Amino acid sequence: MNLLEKRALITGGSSGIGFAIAEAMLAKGAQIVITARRPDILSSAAELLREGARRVDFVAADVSTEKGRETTLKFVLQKLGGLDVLVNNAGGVRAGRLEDTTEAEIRAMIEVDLVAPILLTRAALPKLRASTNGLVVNITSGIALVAAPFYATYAGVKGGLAKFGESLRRELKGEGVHVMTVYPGATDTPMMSSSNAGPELGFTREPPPRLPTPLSRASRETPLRSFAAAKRAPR
Amino acid sequence: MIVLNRDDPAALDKRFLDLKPALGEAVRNHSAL
Repeated sequence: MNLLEKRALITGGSSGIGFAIAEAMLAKGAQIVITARRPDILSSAAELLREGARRVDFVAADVSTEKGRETTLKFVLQKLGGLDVLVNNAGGVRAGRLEDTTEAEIRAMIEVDLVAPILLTRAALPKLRASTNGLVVNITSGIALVAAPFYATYAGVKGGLAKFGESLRRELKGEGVHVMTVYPGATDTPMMSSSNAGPELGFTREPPPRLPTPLSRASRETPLRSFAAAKRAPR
Repeated sequence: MIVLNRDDPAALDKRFLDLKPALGEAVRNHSAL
């Protein structure tokens, strides 16, 4: 997909994989809005992304809530006038034995990793259809392909998101909206900072793909391909 | 590992069984919600 002038929303875009996606899409000429919960981190991320004199707008919101999703989409339409690409990247994790995981933690993972992307996609679909070349990108996890122990709920919701994307891709086939599912391997992001699992346990902890800075010098050959595995909707 | 999970999941179960003590300890506090 040619991203030049494409209007994109990236959830969880203030750090980690979401930030890397924002960098890559900016380097390809997209206009982006990033969203995340913490205004301070979001503002700092936007400043970094603007170093290449690119336009970056941001809105602090929790997309796991109805209000957060409404606020985000309203902001996107106000700033960009439409939406061509939705990147459902925001996510949360709590590992450990299932018996040691609270109901609140389980429900939080279900809400942010599964319910939020489904409902945000549903809400954004009219605008993505209007684009006539829309794209939904769901950031799942390698754990959706091989479920490691102690991540039962996380594997469940990420596997669910992957199947959501697979079904929706076929539902929308031929209708001008494509669906891509990304399966990143263990990536060295803030989300992984409280894990002590390294390569010896199968967690390679690869750095998120980054572009040289400033963005104006960025290679145009660095983007999403470097993720561990990706399946794209056949065109 | 993806192929092994599909073709011989029991082999992967065994591999994870061997890793369980160390993995359980390493990810016990992994939380980002």
